[in-house]
Amino acid sequence: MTDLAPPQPEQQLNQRPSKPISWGWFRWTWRTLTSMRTAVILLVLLALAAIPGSLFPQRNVASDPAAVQQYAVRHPDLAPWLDRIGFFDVYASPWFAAIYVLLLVSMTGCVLPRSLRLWRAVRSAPPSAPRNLARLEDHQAWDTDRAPAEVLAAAARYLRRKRFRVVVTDSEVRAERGYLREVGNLTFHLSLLVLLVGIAVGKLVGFEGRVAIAEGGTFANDRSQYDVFTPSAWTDVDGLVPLSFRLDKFDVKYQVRGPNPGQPSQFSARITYQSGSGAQQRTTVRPNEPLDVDETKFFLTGNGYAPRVTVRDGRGKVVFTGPVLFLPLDANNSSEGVVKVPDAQPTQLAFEGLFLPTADVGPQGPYSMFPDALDPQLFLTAWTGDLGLEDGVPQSVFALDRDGLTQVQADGKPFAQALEVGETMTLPDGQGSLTFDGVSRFANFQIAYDPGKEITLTAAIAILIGLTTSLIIRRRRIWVRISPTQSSGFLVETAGHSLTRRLPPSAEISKLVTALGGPTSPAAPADPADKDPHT
Amino acid sequence: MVEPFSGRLLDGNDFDSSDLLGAVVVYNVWGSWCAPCRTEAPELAQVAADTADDGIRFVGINVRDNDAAARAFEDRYDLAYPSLTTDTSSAALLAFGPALPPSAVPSTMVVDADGRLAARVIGPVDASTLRALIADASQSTRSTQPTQPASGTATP
Amino acid sequence: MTNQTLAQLSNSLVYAAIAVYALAMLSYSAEAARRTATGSAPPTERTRLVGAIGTSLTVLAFALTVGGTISRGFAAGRVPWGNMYEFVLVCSVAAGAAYLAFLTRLPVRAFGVWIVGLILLALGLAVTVLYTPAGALVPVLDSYWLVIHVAAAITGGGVFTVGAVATALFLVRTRLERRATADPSGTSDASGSPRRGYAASLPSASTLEQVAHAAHMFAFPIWTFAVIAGAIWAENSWGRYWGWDPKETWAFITWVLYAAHLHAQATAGWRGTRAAWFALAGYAAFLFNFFGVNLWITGLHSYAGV
Repeated sequence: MTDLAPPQPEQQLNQRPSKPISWGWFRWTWRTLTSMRTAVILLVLLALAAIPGSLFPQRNVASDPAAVQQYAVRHPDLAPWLDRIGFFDVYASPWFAAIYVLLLVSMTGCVLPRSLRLWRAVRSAPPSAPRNLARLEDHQAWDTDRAPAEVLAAAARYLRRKRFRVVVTDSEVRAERGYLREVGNLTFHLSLLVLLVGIAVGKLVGFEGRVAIAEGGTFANDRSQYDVFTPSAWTDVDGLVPLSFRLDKFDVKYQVRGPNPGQPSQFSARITYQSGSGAQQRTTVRPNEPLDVDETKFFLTGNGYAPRVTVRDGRGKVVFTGPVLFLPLDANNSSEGVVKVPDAQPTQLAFEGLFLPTADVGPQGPYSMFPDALDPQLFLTAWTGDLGLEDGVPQSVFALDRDGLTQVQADGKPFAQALEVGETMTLPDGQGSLTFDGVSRFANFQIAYDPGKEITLTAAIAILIGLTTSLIIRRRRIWVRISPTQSSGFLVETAGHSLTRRLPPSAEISKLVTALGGPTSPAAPADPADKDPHT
Repeated sequence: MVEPFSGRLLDGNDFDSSDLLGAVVVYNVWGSWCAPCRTEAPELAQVAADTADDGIRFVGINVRDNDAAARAFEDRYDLAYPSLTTDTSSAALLAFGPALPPSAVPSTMVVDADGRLAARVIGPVDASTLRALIADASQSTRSTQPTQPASGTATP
Repeated sequence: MTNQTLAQLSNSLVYAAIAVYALAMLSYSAEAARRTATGSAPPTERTRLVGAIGTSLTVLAFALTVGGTISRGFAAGRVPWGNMYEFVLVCSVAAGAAYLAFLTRLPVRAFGVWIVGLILLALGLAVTVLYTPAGALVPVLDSYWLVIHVAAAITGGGVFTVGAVATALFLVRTRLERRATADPSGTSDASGSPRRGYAASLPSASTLEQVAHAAHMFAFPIWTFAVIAGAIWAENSWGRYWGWDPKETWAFITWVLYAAHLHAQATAGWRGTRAAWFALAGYAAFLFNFFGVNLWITGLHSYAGV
């Protein structure tokens, strides 16, 4: 980026009165925007602007979708204000976007002209030596009686071997190397733009989704099968990759010994899947090992228990039989869930309560001691009445709408029962029953499709290469000049000049001098460690 | 086109969609847990009963459900037409992919006698809309029929 | 050896390292005190000796932390950077290595007291607050990206630490040199170089800046790589390469602040002291990401375990 130059007073004086919007101001604005100083300020602003997003709960971000609502409940006065200024959605807020768009404009406005200059520099020869070489770094001079052409040819040969670009004239050798530094620098900055393209493609075409499937359950890659489906503006919702799978078995291993008992040591979801009209295949999905079908990836991101129950209604008919997803509440997999039986007759039935994989009852009530299903129990209460499904409004399968429901009572208290596998709770007055048949697990899959990620990855790699190149390579020039002295001989002078902030490689010039038969470097740059007297 | 697919029905019988070629078929994606499915179920039952004599066939595609609950749902709403079980419904859902997939629960797809997708309704469907879609599908099938045996023996 | 004895060996080595680092700190402090007394005058033979003892002790303590880290890895049967205790331990190894590596090429012994102090602080925190017994990883961390991504972050952090110390000392020294230039008669000798005080005993501002610059130039691409590797891992594990998780956000903030520092170094009028503050801000962001995010903010990285 270019250093900031103050606006030229002449430019403003030269404004034509007939032109209300002056070019001078436009140019000044542009130059200010594309100046290095502005870039630094914008970078700092970008860093500052990113901070609130890590301190306040964010919508559309990460782990807990309910976090923003919870925060609003806890801070009823503050939350509306924070919401108004976008603090709950920082990375999609206009002010955050404004900063990075300005930064990109600033960067592009600076990098493009710079690319042009590099292009010219690469095509032009190294410039001629400054008149006074003695003012440059590592200047050395000595007398020689060799022929000038011979000395210059030797210098050119040496420098070419050291991969300098070399121009030889009658009186001097001009050499330059390290053009790659600027190439790296430009690659770095331009790749940032490409990176943004990749992000944009993903944000415009990709999608994310989630689905929880119990063991034995099936999934077809159709939008209707997702628990949550978040399309982008241009997602081809009707063109999802044709894929179906069944979760055959979900295995978890927990540590029983060692310092962290109960910590899971292995998750694996064994599935049978079919892609398109292809044959059925078996595979195992694990954390960090997603199923990848034509760029649509299925990640194993969570799991829990799905107790299997059979419900009979007031007529004695089986009206529900199968696994019910219970959501884990803690590290020991105490889980809560709901069984809704809307087609039980004569009245609809619902059951609500806890599933405890290793149940125990403490002073606070029933709880789970261990995450594995060592002694699984269901603690349920029952409800009858109207589940509220008939009005056609969709509702969560994990929560009861209690408005039309009455809790089943026994002896004036809510009817509740703890069930082990195989046991049945029979509701009073022949209203129905629930049998705990067994325990299945469920797996949570995160599904993602991001066609832009290869672009992003390529850009990221280019950024890294460009950055490293620009920091490692030192662009520098070396001149060798030969001039006649008063006494029939010739004076050889060498000097170097770094075009970057870093010093050129220390012994570069002294080695050249040695190669040319000059004095064996008394003035060669000392080992930097010797420069300081204290060490 | 809708790809041919097969599966098992809630009543225990096998199902193959190619058996239904030549008839207009209404496919309905549903689940007993799905509240909007409950509002449309009586309308579907009505239209299915009314159009059975015209040779219109109805097939349900039960999803994300268990068979006992699905049968209880059929029982409550007097659904006379068969439904594919949840376990075998994946093939049915994907079969519509090359045309237009169901994309929501409930969805209703009307397939004409040639096995082409004629209409898709996302969300609950009402009886009059469904009748009109069935009529269109029957119409398009009938109008295309004369052109099919175009092997020269066409009679005026 | 069983895993249990290996884990105990690791703990003993870490405690031994703390003791030796404490001694190294004492030596370095004594050296700094002696130099402060003499200021810019050449240090005496005895002062040099005290400093050399400090360096020898640092080498020994460094070797002990390396041993502690390796035995920890064998005890757990995996790379030893799976939780915060191990992360701090390995980061102190990285900072020690970076310091000793610089010491072979540049006059950075004046940093010794600060680097060793920071390492001591980190190790002290590690064994008291952050200690976790050696054990297996939760499944989501069980990935070769853990090796790559975390190793890069640790290396970057270790070198950034040296850079931050150099930058802070650069600021101290620059203030002194400016004052000396403004007031050549008073506290300075004829050559304009100041005579007394701790700052006077430090290497010249240009040397300090050179060290800081070298450290930042080395660490910044490594940090960039750590962020990219983390993104690749996140894509492979959670299905998205960037999700503004607090850890990701602070890695981004760190990166942006160091980028601002490098750009400020090329800005007329901001080179030197003003640019130095950006580097310190970047290091503060790194530290916050390291401690603050893990301890106070819940996010996807918080399973890293305290």
